[in-house]
Amino acid sequence: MSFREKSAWITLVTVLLCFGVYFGAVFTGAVPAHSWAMLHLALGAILTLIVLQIALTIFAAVTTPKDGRGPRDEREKMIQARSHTIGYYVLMVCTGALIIPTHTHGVSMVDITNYAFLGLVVSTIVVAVAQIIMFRRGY
Amino acid sequence: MAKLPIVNQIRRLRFENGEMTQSDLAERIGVTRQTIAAIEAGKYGPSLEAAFRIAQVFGVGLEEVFQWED
Repeated sequence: MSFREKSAWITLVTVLLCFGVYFGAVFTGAVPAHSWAMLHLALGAILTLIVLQIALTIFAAVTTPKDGRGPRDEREKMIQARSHTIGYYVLMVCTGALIIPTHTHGVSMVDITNYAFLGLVVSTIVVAVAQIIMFRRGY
Repeated sequence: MAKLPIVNQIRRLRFENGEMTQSDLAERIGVTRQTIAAIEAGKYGPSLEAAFRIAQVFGVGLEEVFQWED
């Protein structure tokens, strides 16, 4: 497995883990809305994500043979471009979908921020999944 | 996924050139081993530049490495 494919897996797993915990707690009401606890949980999720990604990326770089971790080649550049195009459309849809909660029921700025944040997370997951699929099938 | 209409002789040419490994070829043309594997398996169509580089490594013409298949 190339370093870039490992990076995609690292992104997928760490984002699912960190923001799965955050959004799970937020949408089940495990943390009170509009509280410092929610902010602390969000910051904790982001910091944990950063630390995990750095640590796992270093591990992936060290354990990947030299032939799989050179500069990004043409196929990897194409996979990156295609996956980000897909992610862009997903982000557009998620952002556009924000109009629904803001018009159908009264939501606070915190809720809107969380929905927007969820859109970013979903699009990041879609980019990672698209990359993994393309790496697996050849392009 | 639609199969590429291009076949290649990279595997044969590698073995005819001192059993060159995918890693060796990848290093010589500046791509990852996984990209060579994808090209060889017909899953990825390389750029014209990469195709010429592959042919150059084997010292043959482009048409000896890649053929169009109807």
